[in-house]
Amino acid sequence: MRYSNFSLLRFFPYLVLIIFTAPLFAVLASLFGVYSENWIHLFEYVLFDYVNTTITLVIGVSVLVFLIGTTTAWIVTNYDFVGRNVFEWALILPLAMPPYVMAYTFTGLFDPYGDANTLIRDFFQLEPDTVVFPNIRNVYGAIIVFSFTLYPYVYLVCRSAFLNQSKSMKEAARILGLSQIQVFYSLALPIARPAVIGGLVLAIMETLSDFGAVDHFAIQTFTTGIFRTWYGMYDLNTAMQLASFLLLTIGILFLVERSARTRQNYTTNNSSFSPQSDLKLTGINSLIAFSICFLPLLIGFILPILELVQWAYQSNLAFFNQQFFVTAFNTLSLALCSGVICAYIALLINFSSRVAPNQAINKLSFLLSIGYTIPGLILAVGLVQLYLSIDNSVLQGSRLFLTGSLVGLVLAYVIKTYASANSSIESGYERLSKSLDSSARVLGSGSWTLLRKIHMPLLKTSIFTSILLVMSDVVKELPATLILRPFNFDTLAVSTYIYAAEERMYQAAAPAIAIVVVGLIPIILLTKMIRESRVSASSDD
Amino acid sequence: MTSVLKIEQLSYSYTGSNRVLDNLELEIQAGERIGLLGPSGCGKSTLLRLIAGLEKPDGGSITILGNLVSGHRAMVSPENRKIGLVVQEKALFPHMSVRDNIAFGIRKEKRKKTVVANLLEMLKITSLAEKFPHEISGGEQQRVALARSIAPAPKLLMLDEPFSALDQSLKNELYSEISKVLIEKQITILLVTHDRNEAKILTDRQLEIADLQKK
Repeated sequence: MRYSNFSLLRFFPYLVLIIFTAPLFAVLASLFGVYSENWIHLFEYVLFDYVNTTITLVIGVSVLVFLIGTTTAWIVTNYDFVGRNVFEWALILPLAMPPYVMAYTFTGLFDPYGDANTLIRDFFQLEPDTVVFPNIRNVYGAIIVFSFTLYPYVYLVCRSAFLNQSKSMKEAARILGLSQIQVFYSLALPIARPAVIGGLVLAIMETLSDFGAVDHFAIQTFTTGIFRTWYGMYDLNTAMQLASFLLLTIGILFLVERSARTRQNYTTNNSSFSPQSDLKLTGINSLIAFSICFLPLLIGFILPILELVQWAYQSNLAFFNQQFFVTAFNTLSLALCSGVICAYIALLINFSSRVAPNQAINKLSFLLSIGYTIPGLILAVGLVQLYLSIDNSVLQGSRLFLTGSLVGLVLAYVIKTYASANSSIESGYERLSKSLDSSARVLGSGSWTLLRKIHMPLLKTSIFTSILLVMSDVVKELPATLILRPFNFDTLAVSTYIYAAEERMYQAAAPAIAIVVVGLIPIILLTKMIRESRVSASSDD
Repeated sequence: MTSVLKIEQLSYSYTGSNRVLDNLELEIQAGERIGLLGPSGCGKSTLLRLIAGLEKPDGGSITILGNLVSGHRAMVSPENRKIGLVVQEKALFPHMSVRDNIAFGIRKEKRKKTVVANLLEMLKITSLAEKFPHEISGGEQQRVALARSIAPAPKLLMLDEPFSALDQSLKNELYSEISKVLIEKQITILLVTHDRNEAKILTDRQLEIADLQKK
């Protein structure tokens, strides 16, 4: 049903689109600007290293994430073994661990005088200079860190793809001569290919976006390069030119991911055949399945948590001081503020496309969600450029309104996390029958009444979920906060970063634990969905 | 005459529920076409899954061509039993063309091209060869599923309510064509259905599953 007098709502999506994509254009515009001496220096001496390390990182992470994600998903969806019910949801726990927090705990564990080395030296009474574990402050260490925190992206999509694959199809393949393992790699995986690609691309984008972990390991990638160009050489323009190249790469990945997502329907091949219980494993086979699922959980979640707890214990919980609470309050206020704004924008845009359908905006709406693909650092670089020009032109440089302000920071969060908010509200709207709108209309309610009295109360859970999802993303966001925050304004992520940079790990424990705890919120929501999906999958059968 | 399938004292129950099959005995000779009848829930499909090796029996034994495949000493995996199974939901591989689906069970064999071409022609689906499962109708999908199961020349072909999702006119059309193929290929058949008419058209001998179990 169309509402005719609705011009404000009709233009709202365009307005949001302009604001959301402006920083991207600001960054990309630098490509057509002047190339300074710094650019020539970068090009001649370090650009090759950036490209080389970034490619090594991406290839390594892709291979490991693929192996871990697909194998664990296959095992938990097809076999019945000790701990399967727990692994099914626990395998996504590493998503709560931002790669930079894991990087900090890993150096704390595996550096020559780290806890893991010390523990083994003490236990086996080895010489004090014995180093058991190899150095992890390099690109290979980073590959491990990213792979074990990001594999859940592949695990999640594969698990749902495998659950949707018809059991009778897999049984037909067995009867036609494939072994159980052959069914996995020559049937289940090829069918799940679009889902796997989608998950892999998300993991790759996260890897490319990271700043905290690679900075801690002192690896030269694009993001550390952009940061150094700006903060070391004070050359914003060259930093933006460098960022443009990373952005173009991510743009391509974004398109790949979108096309993979649209092809996912192809994998759905539900069966009404009644399958019996999954293949039951006993003895050594059960142990192997258990170990394959336990290892990623151990490395990606249990070890880092143990190390954080150990730091907290070592500092006698002294970190629960006023500074910690101020930082936590800052963070949560920012997160809540961004969450509410994001949810409200998503609500208005989805409402607008429901009551005033518009072909053009429907086609462009995916661009609104582009923020999640943009590395926080690049977004920050683009926004700083925009803020400076707005402050200089509108306020004629008399004072800085946007630059280094909370408003500017919240806008960055809103752009970066809008996709999370939108996904929840969009799916909420999909479940809302359009006949409700017609009934309300016939009963005399105008558009705003429809939104306030009918849609909002019915979408309560979706709105709440979207605020939570945004909050958890905001709490984790490091590089954008680092650059855009007002002077002396710390968040949990920033204070973890600063402590870790100064190797004051005990103090880093408190904010890091807080980040992980908040990060667990969407994970708990997801695990609930995973449990329910299993129940509904088996009741479908 | 050689015995293709011999089942002795076969018992099976789902976890936490009553016994579905109890002391079942059945023997099928080469070239025989048997129809197995019974109401839904009587264990017909379960019996086929046990023969295929997709389930493990609680007791008794299954012998295929003289080799013990299920019993307390043995459990041969489905891929090594050399049998065929066609189910109601066809279970075609969605990412493969009709041709590749049919060739799946004989993908390593040299004669694959001829066999596939032959089956495509016999089942009148040559024009669909390059299409994907979602591009063809339910009846056509069932022809492909049948061709795919016949291609490896199984010693025993089991059909589990293969036509129950199709409408009557389509069924009638398929009956005559398929029984022609089955007779021509001289395949040993075990058909499970609740439709007595279907069993009469497609098989030589019809048995009630209840009669196969010792009271």
